[in-house]
Amino acid sequence: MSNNTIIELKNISKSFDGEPILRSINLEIKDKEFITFLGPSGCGKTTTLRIIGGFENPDEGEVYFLGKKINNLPPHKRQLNTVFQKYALFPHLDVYENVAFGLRLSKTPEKEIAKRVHEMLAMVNLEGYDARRVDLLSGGQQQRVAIARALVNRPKVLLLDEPLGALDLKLRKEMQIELKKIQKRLGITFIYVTHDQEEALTMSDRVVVMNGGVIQQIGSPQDIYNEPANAFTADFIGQSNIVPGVMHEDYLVSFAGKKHKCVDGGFAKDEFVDVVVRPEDIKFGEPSADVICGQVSNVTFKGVHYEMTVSPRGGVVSPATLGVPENGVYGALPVPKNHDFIFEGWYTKRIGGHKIEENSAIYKNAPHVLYAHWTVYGERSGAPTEEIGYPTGEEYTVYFESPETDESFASINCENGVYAELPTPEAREGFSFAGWFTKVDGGKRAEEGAHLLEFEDHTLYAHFTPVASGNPVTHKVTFDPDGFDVWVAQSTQVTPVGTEVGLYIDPENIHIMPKSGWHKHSDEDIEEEGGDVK
Amino acid sequence: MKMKAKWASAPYIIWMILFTIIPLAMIVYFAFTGSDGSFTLENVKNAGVHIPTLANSIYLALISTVVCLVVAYPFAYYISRKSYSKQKMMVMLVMLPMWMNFLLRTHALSALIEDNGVINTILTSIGLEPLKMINTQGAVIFGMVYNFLPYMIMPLYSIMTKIDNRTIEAAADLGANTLQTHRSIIVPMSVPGIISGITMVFVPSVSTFVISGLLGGSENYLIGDIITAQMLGSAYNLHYGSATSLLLMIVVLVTMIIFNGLDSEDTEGMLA
Repeated sequence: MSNNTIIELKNISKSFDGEPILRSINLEIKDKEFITFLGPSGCGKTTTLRIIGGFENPDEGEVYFLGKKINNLPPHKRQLNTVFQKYALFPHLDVYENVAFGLRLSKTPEKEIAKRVHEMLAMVNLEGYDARRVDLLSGGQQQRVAIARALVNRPKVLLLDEPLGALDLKLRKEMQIELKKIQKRLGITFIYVTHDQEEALTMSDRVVVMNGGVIQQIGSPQDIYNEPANAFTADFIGQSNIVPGVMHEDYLVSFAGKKHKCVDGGFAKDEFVDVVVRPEDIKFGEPSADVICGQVSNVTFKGVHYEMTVSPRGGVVSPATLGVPENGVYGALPVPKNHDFIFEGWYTKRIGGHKIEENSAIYKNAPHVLYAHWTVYGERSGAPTEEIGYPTGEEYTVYFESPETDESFASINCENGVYAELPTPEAREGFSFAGWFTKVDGGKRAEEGAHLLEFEDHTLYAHFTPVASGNPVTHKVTFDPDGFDVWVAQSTQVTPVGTEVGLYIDPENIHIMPKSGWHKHSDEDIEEEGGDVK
Repeated sequence: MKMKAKWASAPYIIWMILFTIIPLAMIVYFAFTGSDGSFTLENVKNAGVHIPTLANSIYLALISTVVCLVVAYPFAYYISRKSYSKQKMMVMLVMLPMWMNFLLRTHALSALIEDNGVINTILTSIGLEPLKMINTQGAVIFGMVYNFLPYMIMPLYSIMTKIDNRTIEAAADLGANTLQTHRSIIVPMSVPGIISGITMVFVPSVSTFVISGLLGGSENYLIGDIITAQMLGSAYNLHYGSATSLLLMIVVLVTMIIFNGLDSEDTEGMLA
């Protein structure tokens, strides 16, 4: 623990009703810093704050305050105060008495109370509001009372639980600046919880990005924006293009069918990675064979800049080639070995979408990705009787194998059942989907509702037949590997819809991150988690 | 719209006139007339003899109200902090005794505490002295608490369940221990519930005659028993009974005014 650490969390875990909310959180919070817990709802950020405040007890792990363990210290004995969601003012007390509440409890002399309450009310610009009823104040004013009430005790740390959530945008921006000013002036630690990434980036010294009860990244706003640690952070912080890629060697990555220089290294040879490119880092130029090319398909004016989407031209985007053997194209889908899955059918979207019936043709203009929907069934060892609910947001990635290249892959996601993406051929002619088989050539057909355990080697093959001839023929097709079919770019200059452009990206703006879902969850992990959840 | 609302309230207004206003007027009329129908203050003066009994009624009603409040407050708070489904179940349990007739309940109670009742039978069978329970003040108070406790719990619970957990946490956060949180946050915020709970227990307690009749014996005669006797029983005198009723009503009215005065003082604006 370094000298200026004020709060330390060690291996904090917490479950509600058997549902894990926090998984082994470790965090040091420095004195006088403005630190923000950022994440989507249900990520565990508020629970972490409540554990620091003493309103929840961790199932495991320790909370330290200035080096002392405070796990069992009740909230009223902790030297920190909280600004609650929706303020939680005392409706039967006026503004003055709300702010004075903490001082009255500590038996502060009346003169001192008056002095400090007025000091606080002045700081939050509420002079003269002493006798007002709190329920007649506006949202912004109530917020100020809540801040004054929490600060009047001169805490070493102020906890703020989505304090600006109920305010309108303009007021929120003003309050952000004001809160930052107050924090600087008082020189105390602020621990702030929000789901608003802009708010986090604006105010914080450090941001803790959380998802699924796990800290994804800790860093300065600049760090997490420019160097996101994984695809989740990249996606959550700001707008990003996230595409699958392959890291051939240090400083060389291929994605969207092109090889690109980059500044990252340290990956295994030909490791599958996520590539993140910020929209503002994409420059438009002349289309050429070396860069991603496409057509501007949409332009939106965003005030300061224009946002343009670029649809890559079919055929040009050809990162992977699949051999088409005698009986059509195939893709193999390996799945986690410890679980059984029920095949639910073949869809155009990850969640919902429309179902692709057998023998329906897939043409050039159709989406070039299909999703096989799966439901997780019981563990392999036991009888497959009960469904396993996976924590939402967990992602398990699997890869397609293809005979000629290993560049094609797909991911399995447990958010809404398990799904797998299968790249589909894009060619001059359509292909018809012939079904899902256990072998490249023939084999047993996977019917809907079938259990995966019935299939050998946990691998299935999708068969396609070219429509035009009706006969399976051997020829090469190219296709987009992951359904990332548009790029989003931002610029202050507008490029009209329909313009053919090449996308130029500087090597330092290509951010490479490991496929977190794949690397973090080995088979053992999956087994463990399957055991957690009934 | 205005007209419609007016007409919709007509049935209740008619009800009120028939069964509240007219009987009330009759009571006033009888209270101030003699048996020959002439105006007199004699009844009211005579009713004054019952002031000691009235005082005793108020005394017992106050005690049972306080007991109800002391028992109901922590329990209502406990329910109000539970999850919604548990709350529903517990409220049902509170209401359960109310599904049985009031008279039956009181009779059952007297069977329990009689000199040769269930409790004393058990006591003597294990060689202990029987207890004198029935026909005591304690029995009357117990009967009142037993019958009217749910009327205290319900209003308390329904106001407490509206108190946001975060408000309670905010008090703890600012340094209040459990006792201080109750004293400075939860009790003041529950005042409207406390007031209506007190009203709902005190009023029926002060005017009860069944409980005192069945459990109190002849020594614990309450004002309700006197009125019953005058109106329906041995001491039949409609004029005299009306005057006594009027006296009781005035006492209740004054009590309510005092309570409601407290209410508006302490909780001004918090019911918004």
